[in-house]
Amino acid sequence: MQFSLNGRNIAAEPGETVLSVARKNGVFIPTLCHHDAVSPSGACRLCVVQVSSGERSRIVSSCLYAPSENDRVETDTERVRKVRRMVLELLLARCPTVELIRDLARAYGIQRSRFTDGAGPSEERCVLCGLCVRVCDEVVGRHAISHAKRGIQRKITTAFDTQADECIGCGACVRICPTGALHYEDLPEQKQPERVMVELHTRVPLVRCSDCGRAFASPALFEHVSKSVNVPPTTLAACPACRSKSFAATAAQNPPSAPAFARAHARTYQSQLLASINEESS
Amino acid sequence: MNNYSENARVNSAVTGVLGRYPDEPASLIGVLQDVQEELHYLPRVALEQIAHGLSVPRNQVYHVATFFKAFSLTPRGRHTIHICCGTACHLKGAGMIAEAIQSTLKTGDGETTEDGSFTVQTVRCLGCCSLAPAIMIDREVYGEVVPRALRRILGKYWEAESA
Repeated sequence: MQFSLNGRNIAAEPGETVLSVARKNGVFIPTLCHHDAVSPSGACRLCVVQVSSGERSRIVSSCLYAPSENDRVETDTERVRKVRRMVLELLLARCPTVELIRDLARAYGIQRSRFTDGAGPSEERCVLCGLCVRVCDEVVGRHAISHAKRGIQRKITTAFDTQADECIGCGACVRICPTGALHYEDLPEQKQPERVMVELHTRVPLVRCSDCGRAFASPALFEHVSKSVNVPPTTLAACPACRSKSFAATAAQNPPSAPAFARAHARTYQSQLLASINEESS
Repeated sequence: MNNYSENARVNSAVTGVLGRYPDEPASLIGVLQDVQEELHYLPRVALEQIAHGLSVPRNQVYHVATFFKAFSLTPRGRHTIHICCGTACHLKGAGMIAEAIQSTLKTGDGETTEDGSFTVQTVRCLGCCSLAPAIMIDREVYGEVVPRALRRILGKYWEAESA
């Protein structure tokens, strides 16, 4: 499949999106709601490009559009820039405090938005791109959060805006958020340590590291990780820092030759794998 | 009505509706519509039961139930009055009709009367512009409405209520 990207003839797999082809070929297209780990959604409209076939040309979102044979795709025409400027001006009106949006807006020559309601700068950070929802649905598979309501009331929340028992406090939503709209806070000093998903009305209990006693993850997360990577939950009882420390200590006491090290490591991993499989089937 | 019997009523309504649909996520909207029709709103316990029954995650059910205007998570009246405010009705005095209905029933737009008999809602267009100004009560359309006809129209529902 051949199409032209900014005047260059480029081969693409059928069904591959313009965005993916462009990235492979070193052509920059700005995005907010795209992440390789989750399905594209076309929510932010920043990745728009201009597609011409024959006489007609139109604006499409490159994260969803798979080019047809002989399409001419332009990623930085005046028409494209105009659409992106409008999108950014709207985003800037909603989220004037988000650094990433201000940087993008500045890159497109926008210092301030015309669209303000006179109520003073909004503290809103969420652009409703839905990356958090998609990572929770598709990668973590817990379905703890979603969009709710519509129009100007649209928001990201848990079912019924209350404690979501589906949430395992993994923090994937917090990390994938491009604008820093989601946070969690750990309360390690409590008798029962907790992770508070601040914007999501949800608290998840944490357990302490078997070595250093730091509260670092939830039992539900252990169970989830243990299932998805096939490691017994006991391996996860120590926090990542203590795990590497004890691993380094063992290695220092008994420095193996490089091939032996590789073999030993492979063996432990494989035996763990086998053990967990046996455990499951018994 | 106490909480227990209310829950039992919701539960049996939802069970009945679920029985008419295949147990699959694609049934979601149909089920929500039928439950809304029967209970006049979608209580949380109903949504939880629907999520469970159709194997749809709760977040998805909440997403759909809060998205569409046809669904309400708070109790609606036994009758819904839609007041058309489309272009034709607007020109023919929909504003006066809305005011008259709201003052007669002592409700605001989107609100429910104290006795739970009516919910009043303005809508963009009912699609019957030749009847302007129009209102729709439940599924019945009333065309060329004038404020003084309202008592007669609403009276029908009041009588049915008290009968």
